[in-house]
Amino acid sequence: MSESIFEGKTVEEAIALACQELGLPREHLNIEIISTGSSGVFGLGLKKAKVRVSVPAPEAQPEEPGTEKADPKQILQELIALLDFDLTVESNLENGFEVLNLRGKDAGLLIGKQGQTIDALQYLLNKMLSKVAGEKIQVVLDCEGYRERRKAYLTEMAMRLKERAQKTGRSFYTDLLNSADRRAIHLALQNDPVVKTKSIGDGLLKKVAVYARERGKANGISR
Amino acid sequence: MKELIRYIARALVDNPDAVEVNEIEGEQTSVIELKVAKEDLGKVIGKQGRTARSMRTILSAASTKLRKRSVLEIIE
Repeated sequence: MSESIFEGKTVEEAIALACQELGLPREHLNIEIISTGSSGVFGLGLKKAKVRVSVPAPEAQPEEPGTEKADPKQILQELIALLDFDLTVESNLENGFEVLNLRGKDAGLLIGKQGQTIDALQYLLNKMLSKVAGEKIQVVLDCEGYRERRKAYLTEMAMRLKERAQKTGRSFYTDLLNSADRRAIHLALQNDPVVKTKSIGDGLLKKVAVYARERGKANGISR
Repeated sequence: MKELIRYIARALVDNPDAVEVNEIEGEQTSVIELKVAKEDLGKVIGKQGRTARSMRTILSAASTKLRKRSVLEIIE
């Protein structure tokens, strides 16, 4: 168990500093207040608030070491504060997944080009949460309906590619997409009687090929 | 900027006390140097560099707001 002392103008400030430095929410810290501090008069008699903080060792937890849970919303709020973004966070449960919804002035900046920034933040947040929990944690970040908009855009793209594949009998490809985006394309066409989909390439980003199931049908000849 | 990287890096590694972050500020571009314990290098880089890339992506988003450019360098 490691101990450190943090100081601040108030006890609250000292604890907040401790949480930031240690990268843990305050529920995971043992906090002992050494002095509450006083603001003094015109800087005279000014005393800083002091807290002694220790982090309980993970193995000290009596059962199931993986049950320790960091609060995704709180960590995200701290990240947003460090990014100096003007956004508020709201947590919802959707289909068994925790979805963190952000809204505010910096929504566009947060989403980034083709969702690059929101995806990067989501990836890092999940890594950070998984590290604390000792198991894989998967939360979804959304920002002013971005995920829904993206899905609609991809579904439309899938339909366009299908139409072209159907007309010409050739394969058509999407741009390079990440796994979530590829999934949207596969799902949009999964039970399609005319075309099939397949991911092509390797690495994080792949293309999706949309091609006719059978030549004959591709040319519009029905059974 | 520096605090952002420090916060993320500390949450990813096994050895948070070994995390060191320096910011070298230039007129337009600042360089942020991240140093971690040798065993933790992989954790801040990630599979196919994905973690490092994600940190760089959000770093540039934060810099955009300040009308600056920031570069993240991971020091071995």
